[in-house]
Order: sequence, then C-alpha cells, then structure tokens
Amino acid sequence: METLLKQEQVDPYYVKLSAFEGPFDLLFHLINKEEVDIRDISLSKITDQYLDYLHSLPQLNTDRAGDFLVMAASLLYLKSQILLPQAPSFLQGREEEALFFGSKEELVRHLLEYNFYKSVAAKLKNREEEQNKIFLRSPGPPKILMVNTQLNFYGYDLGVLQQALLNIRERKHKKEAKKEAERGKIRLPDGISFLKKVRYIASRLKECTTCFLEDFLLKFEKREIILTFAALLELAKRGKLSLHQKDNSHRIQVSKKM
Amino acid sequence: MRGNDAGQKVTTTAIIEAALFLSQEPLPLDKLGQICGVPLAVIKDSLQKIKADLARNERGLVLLETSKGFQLGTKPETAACVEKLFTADQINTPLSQAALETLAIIAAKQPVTRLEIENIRGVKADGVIDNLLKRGLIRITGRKEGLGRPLLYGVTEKFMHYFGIKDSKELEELMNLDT
Repeated sequence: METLLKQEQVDPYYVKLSAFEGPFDLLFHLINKEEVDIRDISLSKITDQYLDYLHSLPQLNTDRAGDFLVMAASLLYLKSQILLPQAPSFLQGREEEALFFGSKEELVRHLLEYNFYKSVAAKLKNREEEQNKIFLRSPGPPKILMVNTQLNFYGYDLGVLQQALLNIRERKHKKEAKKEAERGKIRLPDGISFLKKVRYIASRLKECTTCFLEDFLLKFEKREIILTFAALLELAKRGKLSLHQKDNSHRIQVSKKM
Repeated sequence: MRGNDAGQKVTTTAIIEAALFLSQEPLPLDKLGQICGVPLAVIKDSLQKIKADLARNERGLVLLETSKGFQLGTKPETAACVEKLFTADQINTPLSQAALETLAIIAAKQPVTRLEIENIRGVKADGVIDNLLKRGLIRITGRKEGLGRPLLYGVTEKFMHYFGIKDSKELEELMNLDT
C-alpha cells in the first residue's frame, strides 16, 4: 500500500491496471507518456516500463491477467532478440504463435493499425456528441403500420418486431424451464401447420377486435411461435390485419381489417 | 407561386419549410417535388435557400440531409437549454471507448468477424458486439467461408444516422488519415 501511495505522488500518470481494458491500452499509455512516435519506441525501455508497471500493482486481477502476461512475454521475447540477435530462437514453433507479435516490425505495425482505429473512434465520438445535440420532431399521435407488398414497415425497423419477439421468447423460456423441470420433455402436438395457424389467428381476431402481439404467441413453444409469427406477417401482408404500436414503449396491437 | 383562400401567395420555399416542419420522417427530393408540383431543380434551389437562412444566429434549426431525405433538427448550440424539455431516459447514452473503437473497425473493414476485431484490439469483443447489435448500430451480414463459418458484421443505416454520416462517400472520408 505504501509503495502505491508514493507512486501516486511521484508519477502524475499513474493509474490502476483496471483503467486499461487490455494490454494494448497499457502499451499505448506508456508510449504516449514517452511522447515518441510509435516507430521510434525503444523496445528495451518499453519492456522495462511495462514490467515495472505490472510489478507495481498489489495484485493482478486474475481473469484479465492472462492477456497482460502474454504481452509481457511477447515484449521480453523481442527484447531478447535484440540483446542476443545471433542466438537461435528458444521458442518452439507453436509457442511463437501464442505471442502477440514475433518481431518489432510486427509490433509497430500492430500499434499503428490500432492507433488508426483509435483516431477514427475519436472522430466518431465528436460526431456522436454533435448529433446528440440535434433533436428531431418526435413521433406524433398513434399511427397504423401499413405493410405493403414488399413487407416494408414504414417508419419502423424490423428490429422493433424482432425485439418484441425476443421479449416474448424470453418470458416463454422462463415459463418453459419451470414446466420442463416438473414434467420432463414437452412433445409438440401433431398436426401443427402454417394453414392451421392462419385459421387460428383469424378466429382469434373474430373474438377480440384488438389483441396484443403477445396474446398470439405466449402459450406456444418455439416452433409454434415461429409459425404463428410468420402467419401474422403473411396476413398483414395480405391486408387482412394491421399491426399498430403507439410508440416504442407500448405493446404491439393486432387489429382485424375489414 | 400558389395562392390560398385568403389570396396570400406563398413561395415553393415556404411550402417546403412547412412540409419539413410537419413531417415526422425525412422527406426525399421526389416527395417534395410531388407535394409542390415543381421540378426537382427548383426544390434543390429552395432547399439551399432554407439552409442558408437557417444558418443565421436568430434561427434555431438546421436542415439535415440523410440517405432517406431531408429533415429539420434543432441547432446543436441550443441543446444545452432545450434538452431540459426531456427526461434523462429519453436522451441517448453515449458509447464507450471500446464500442467506438469496435465500430471504427467494423465500419472500415466490413464485413468483419469477431476474431478479426479481437485481434486488433487485443481484448474480447463479445460484450461490445452484443451491445452494438442491440442498439441497432451493427448487424450480421452473413458468415465467412472456412473453418467454423464465423459470423460477419457490418454497420447499419442507423449507424449512419447516429453519427450524422450522409453517405458511404462521407464514411470513406472519415477513414482518411487527415485528422
């Protein structure tokens, strides 16, 4: 603990390992501290700094330590090549593959590539900030989703229906998991077909003028859910029913069309 | 020029501005042409006028151009004040550094596999990819042939809107080393 505090006072750049998502982050941090170009880094110096850094931590977070240690091994390997260029490689074939890089050129290339993406990410961040300051007109009163023959949901992503389906399936799974634990494997009843699903939907719609999407899907198991969902879409495409959502926070309504 | 019942004449520019104000969706050129009943060249001219006029300090809106068409939005400089009209959960949470870097890689190299992303960043990408899929900023574009047939990822139209990137040309410019 004492050594940590001293480091904090002496070194303004000191941060804990948890601040780095991975070993490359740490490496970039050390290189930027040196304020040299990536191509000009002193491998020996970087290796020593990297190892000092790892040693200075009171303990390594074990589930993320692996990658950081592979980086240490990779750097040490490169350093050894520089110190003893004539000596044959002490690594067996597959061992070298396990390292992040086998030569300084590889390391530099990797850092340059990653650095490029970091700079693009920075540009994206600026754009994100700008865009988040621009507000658009919010959706107005409830509107009917019209499904034209190309199955194009005007104004909505297919993602919305997808998400609704995923939510339903999640609830289904929780229910099923409980049932299955009690009764063993559930058998799919015979005679389930697409046509039967279409008829089922039509008869349900006759009873309730508006139902919600879940009402059609909740009590079936996976294969039936998929069939029923497909049948719903087919009927919507044919103009027999309409799908309607007030806004993203409401459930999807299914209504019969005349 | 068109006249209404009171006999007041309005310009095409005015009609376009009204349409943009009303519409909840971006309006493409042909749609605007249809509403106004004038050639596209006139529409384009009017849009330029609107854009120039909105640039003045007293105006609080901007004219946005996306792949889907034209839309009015609020001027970013007004955000600090107007965002008080919203509750916290209605505003977008910004993306993490990891998410931005991953998006940069996908946007540049699409289609790209999870492994290729992980090799560049040196860390696992599962969580970030799931999050980006949920946000609708990336999508699965297919599978790569070969061992394991891993999933391929690419960016979506929502990604373009989210970052205010108009088209693929603008995206390419973003990738250039001009900083």
